[in-house]
Amino acid sequence: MTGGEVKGTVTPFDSVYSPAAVREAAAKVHDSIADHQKDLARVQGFFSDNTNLINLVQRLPDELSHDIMVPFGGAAFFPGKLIHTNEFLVLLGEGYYADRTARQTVEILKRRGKSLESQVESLKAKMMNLEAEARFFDSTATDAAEGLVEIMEDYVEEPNKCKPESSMTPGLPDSNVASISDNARTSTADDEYAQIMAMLDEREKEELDHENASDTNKELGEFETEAPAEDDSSSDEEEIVEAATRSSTSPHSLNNKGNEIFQNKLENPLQDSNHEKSGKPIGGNLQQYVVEQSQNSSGNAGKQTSQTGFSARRSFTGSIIEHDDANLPKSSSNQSTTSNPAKPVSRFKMQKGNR
Amino acid sequence: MAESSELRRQKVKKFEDFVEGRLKPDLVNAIAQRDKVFEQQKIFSDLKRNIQVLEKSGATSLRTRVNLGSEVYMQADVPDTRRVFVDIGLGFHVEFTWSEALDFISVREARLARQVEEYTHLIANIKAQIKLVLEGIRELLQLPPE
Repeated sequence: MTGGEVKGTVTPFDSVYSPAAVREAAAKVHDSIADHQKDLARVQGFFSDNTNLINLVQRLPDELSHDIMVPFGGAAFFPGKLIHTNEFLVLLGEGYYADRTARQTVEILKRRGKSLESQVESLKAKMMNLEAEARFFDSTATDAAEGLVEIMEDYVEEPNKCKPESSMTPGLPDSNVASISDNARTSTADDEYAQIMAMLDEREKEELDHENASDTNKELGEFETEAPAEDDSSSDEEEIVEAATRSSTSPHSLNNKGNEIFQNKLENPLQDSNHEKSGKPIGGNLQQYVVEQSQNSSGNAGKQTSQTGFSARRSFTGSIIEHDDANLPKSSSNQSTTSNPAKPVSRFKMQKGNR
Repeated sequence: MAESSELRRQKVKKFEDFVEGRLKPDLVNAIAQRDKVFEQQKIFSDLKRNIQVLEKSGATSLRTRVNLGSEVYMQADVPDTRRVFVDIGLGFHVEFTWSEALDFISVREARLARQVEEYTHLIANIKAQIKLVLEGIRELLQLPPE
């Protein structure tokens, strides 16, 4: 048994989303927001000019003629009069003009105002989208800066005898099959794992109590409500992973087999009945999983429940954004298979036999 | 050796920043202002031409179309064209007769031409400075290989 060996990866958000790049993206989005703001201001200026003109055109026909200063070029004026106060020459575009009365001109101008309004609306909608994008970038930048860590671990099949060893092979989702053999990176997380193992034990006990006392839905609800606290959960995740790894042990050979089986499962997601379960939404999986666990009143059940709880919590934290939906159900199904020593193992063995 | 090249690189960067940050915007500003003076020149030359046409035709009244805004025009009648109000700057308009207006316009045009020349000098100055700094950068960059 290889104790203390870690399989899995701890990827800080920094490497996936480098803070500098995220900030650049956020800056670009802010710039485009500013541009749209300028356009919006311009179009709103046109709109207000239009309304002023409508008022003017409505007032002009009240008099026969108005005394005005007639511009002559750009720098000279003639005193003069506005005559024919009900006749307006309106530019329709493309060099076409129309002689219209005041009322008709007002109608034309109102139609222009409507089109301007629709422009304003579309600009505002674009700006809202950009602002949402900017907020996402900002939050990602702060997350990366805080050192949020994405933990990806291999799925490893766990045998019946789960001795509490410090092996780093919890039944957790492995969304990156390529990282299975990357032990080097995971070894750096050993210390972290060791620290959170104790925490996970406590949580397991808590969850056992929860599971016995309350409804499974309520349990899921609890986990879901805990999910939004990302900062806490990020450290909690590591702790729980640590405890999970300690509790769920399996020999190294089984690890490899588990990986292979997991790969098989990736390829044939619908063969196993467990995989069928994985087709359901995550809540359904966890429900069923927890129900199974309650049926098997073994120590593993509690631990697996905690793992489920952990995975439930984990699945509802930021990592759900990262992982493929298909992976999580598989992981929970994997957990269910590994957690039930009696029944699913036999099915598992059948699968192993298939290889 | 590496230190001196590092120093050199820093100097080059400083010069480049100076060119981009100070000289080029200055150049752009100067050109924009000179363009504005060009526009004024055009306005006044047009005015002069129109007044001369008026004088030649001897028309006393005028029928024009006035832009009310957003390209909506209305007819306007000028009964007496002999009085012109010309913008002399600072928001003032002075009532001129035709000949007075023409005199004023020629004086104004001379002044504008002088302004244009000043701006042209300034622009040439800035361009020369830019060339100088670029030459300096080129020299700095050529020395390392040597």
